Amino acid sequence: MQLQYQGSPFSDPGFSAPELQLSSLPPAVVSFKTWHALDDRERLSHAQGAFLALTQHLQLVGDDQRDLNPGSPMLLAQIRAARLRAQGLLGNMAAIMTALGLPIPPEEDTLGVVPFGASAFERKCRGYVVTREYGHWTDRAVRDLALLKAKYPG
Amino acid sequence: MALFSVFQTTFLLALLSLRTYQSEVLSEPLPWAPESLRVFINSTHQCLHLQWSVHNLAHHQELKMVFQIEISRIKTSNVIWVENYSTTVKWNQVLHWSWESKLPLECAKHFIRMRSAVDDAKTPEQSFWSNWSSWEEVHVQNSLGHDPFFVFPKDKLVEEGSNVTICYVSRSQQNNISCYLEGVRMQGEQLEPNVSVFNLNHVAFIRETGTNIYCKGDQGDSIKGIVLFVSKVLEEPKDFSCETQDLTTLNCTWDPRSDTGLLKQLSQSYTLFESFSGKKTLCKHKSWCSWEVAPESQEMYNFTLTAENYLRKRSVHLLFNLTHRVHPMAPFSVLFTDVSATNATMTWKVHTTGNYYTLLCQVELYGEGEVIQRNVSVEVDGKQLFGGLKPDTEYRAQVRCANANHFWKWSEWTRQNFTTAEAAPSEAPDVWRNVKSVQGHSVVTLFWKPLSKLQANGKILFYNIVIENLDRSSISKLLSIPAPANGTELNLDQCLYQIHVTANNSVGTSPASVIIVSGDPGNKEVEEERVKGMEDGFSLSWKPQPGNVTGYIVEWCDHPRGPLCDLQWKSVGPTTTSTVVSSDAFRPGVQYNFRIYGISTERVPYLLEKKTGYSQELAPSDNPQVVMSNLTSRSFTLSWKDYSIESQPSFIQGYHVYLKSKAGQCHSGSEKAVLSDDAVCCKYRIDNPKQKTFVVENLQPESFYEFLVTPYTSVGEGPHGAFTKVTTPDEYCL
Repeated sequence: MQLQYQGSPFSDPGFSAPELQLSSLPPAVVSFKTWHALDDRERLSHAQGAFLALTQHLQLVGDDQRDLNPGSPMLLAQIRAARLRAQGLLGNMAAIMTALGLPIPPEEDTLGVVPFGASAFERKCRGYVVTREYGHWTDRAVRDLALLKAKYPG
Repeated sequence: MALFSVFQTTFLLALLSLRTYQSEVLSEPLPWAPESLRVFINSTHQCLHLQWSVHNLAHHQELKMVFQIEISRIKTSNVIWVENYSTTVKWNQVLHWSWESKLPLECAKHFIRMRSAVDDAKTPEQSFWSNWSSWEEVHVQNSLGHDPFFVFPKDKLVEEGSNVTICYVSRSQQNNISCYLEGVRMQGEQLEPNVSVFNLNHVAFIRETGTNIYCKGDQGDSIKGIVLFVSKVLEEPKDFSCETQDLTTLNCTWDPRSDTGLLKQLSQSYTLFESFSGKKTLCKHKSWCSWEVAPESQEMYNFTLTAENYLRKRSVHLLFNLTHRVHPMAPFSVLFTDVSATNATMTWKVHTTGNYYTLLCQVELYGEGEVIQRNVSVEVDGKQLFGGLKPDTEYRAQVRCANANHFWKWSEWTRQNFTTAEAAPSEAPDVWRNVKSVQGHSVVTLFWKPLSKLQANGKILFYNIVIENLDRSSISKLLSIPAPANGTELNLDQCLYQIHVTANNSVGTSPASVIIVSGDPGNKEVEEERVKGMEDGFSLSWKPQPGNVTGYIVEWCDHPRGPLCDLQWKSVGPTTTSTVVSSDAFRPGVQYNFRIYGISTERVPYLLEKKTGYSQELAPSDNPQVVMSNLTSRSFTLSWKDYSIESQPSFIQGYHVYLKSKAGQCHSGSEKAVLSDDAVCCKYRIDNPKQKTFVVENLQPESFYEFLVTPYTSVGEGPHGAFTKVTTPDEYCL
């Protein structure tokens, strides 16, 4: 839905631009072999870092979209919902890490100075990247948690 | 001699050196060349702003100069713009000049240089160019990050219909970059190996959130783009008008037409400026504005309404006299005083502001089927007298006002209703009577019709009946019958009575209806005439009376056959001798009887004529009960004595006797007839409706016959139902 609001090329059917990345956001895509071989600490700390970055980036994207699409309350509500879910997942990760006796990395500012002065098109691009990565990371977190559950039943 | 030549030589030398000095002056470069050239870049507006000064000017020296400015793109030899800028230069003055580039400044390197010349009439021989300044390079740095290419201009705001130039700047020359406007491929031109340019002509407004233009490399390495914000063209405000309600505030309104608001641009703002007072205000609303009027100071107003957005301004003007634009507030405090049955006084107030000006007020009064209109001049209070009104009627009044001199607009209507008072009923009730003689006295039933609203002038409360015994010259009875009532019954003896009937409301009594009733009806025998009814009733006429009559009355029963006759009557004037009587109660097949009375000047009704008829005759629905007697071998007698011709659905004109026989022969006195079932019989005709017997003769002995007696009328005969059978006996049997 978010893509529809941005106009072409984002709204073109089947649009995909995997080459578009934000350096401040860890990419979810990783080779299966690499992902499977991660140990518990690495697995959870990657996810935790990603969702921390995602909550901050979703805030940025929400601000961007409020300017780019002012008359679209549903879009803004969706972005807010995504950010809250990311925060929820962050909490889940922290709880699991504590249960496993792993240290929780401190919160850091993942955005830095990047946001200011971006043009309208640049903001549309980063909106696309953030929502794409949010989707990918959520899928990956589901797999991560399934794996951990199998490993530590109960 | 030598001295003189020396002197001459010296003089010549001096002259020579002077000349040389002069030519040296002429061949030296101009001291007034442009210096300290600085270039400022405004990439958002794609503008270059130049600043320079001219040195070596004396204090307070003013020189008219012309500066020639050259702008090149990509390389200095590629000159794209030359312009001569003329101005007067003062000592120590910093000069400015701006140039807008159609191509975004990030797309190519620009170079700028200038030279000057004096353009003064005072020194014409010195007007040739100075040397060129050195080329100033203008290069917009945009190589932040590691992107393979960039698209320009970013987030530009333009007006619909304008031309825009887009470019991309690529790091390397290898990328095959394609660019799209709203998903449609654009054709470009190469400016440089790394730079391509796209010219968009007459850009259209697509949406408020902008138009996407993006480029991508074929190596799938990046998508870069810009959003072009196209604004609708700001239109001139339409229908600009100002008016005042009270000479203290002006209310100006206009039609803003299209809203040019966008993501990148606020909706246009409106400013009102008045030139005589020099006051200006920013309007808070997009289609109206209030303006405080300084009391009793300014009469003429010259307004300029300016619509402004980021890109453009549009203005409209309005010049007017304040007193010519008065739209008053609606009048208030509308009251009705001195309201009688036929008159009323209406008062109202108008809003004034202290500067007394006259208003013209329009008053309209709506009653039942009538409208009264008045125009009244008013300064503070309005007043209008209305006469000739109808009593007990609700009137709806409305009033509105406008400026009497220099009319502009009417105020809103202010409405108020009132009801006139009741008055005494204006007409006597329509009264009639029915007299029945019972055992030596009379039962007189009085009937009257309710007065119409126009006659009643108020709510009728009761009816007064005064019964005066004329034989004994005394008032026998006074009756007061509360309304609603439409009649009463009186028991009187056989004396002559005069009866007064009046209708009374809260104000007074109506004129009296007077009727004389005598115990002895004394009606002479009057012939009853037959009349034929029509669709809308009965058309009756009668002979005018030789004596003086005050009127005629036609009387009938709406339900002549019912238990209650439901007496009806119609009064007509003395000169009328015919009328159409209609009633919703008239039914086909019912005989109505009409009695026509003349009312003498002494108020005594006399029966003049009787009419009877059917509004629509119907064929009889059954046949008389027939008794057969005196049966012989050749005859028999039929009789139907009990058959009443009075209560039939039409006038019985006679009877048909049908006789069916085997022989099929009809004797004289009868004719052959074919019935609806194709049976053949003999038909006898009896022309006298009063005849109730008939002898059937010339019959054959020992024969079987069948008979039927049926009445016939102008609309048909009775049903051909069951025939009665009879067989004649043997001749020799007794």
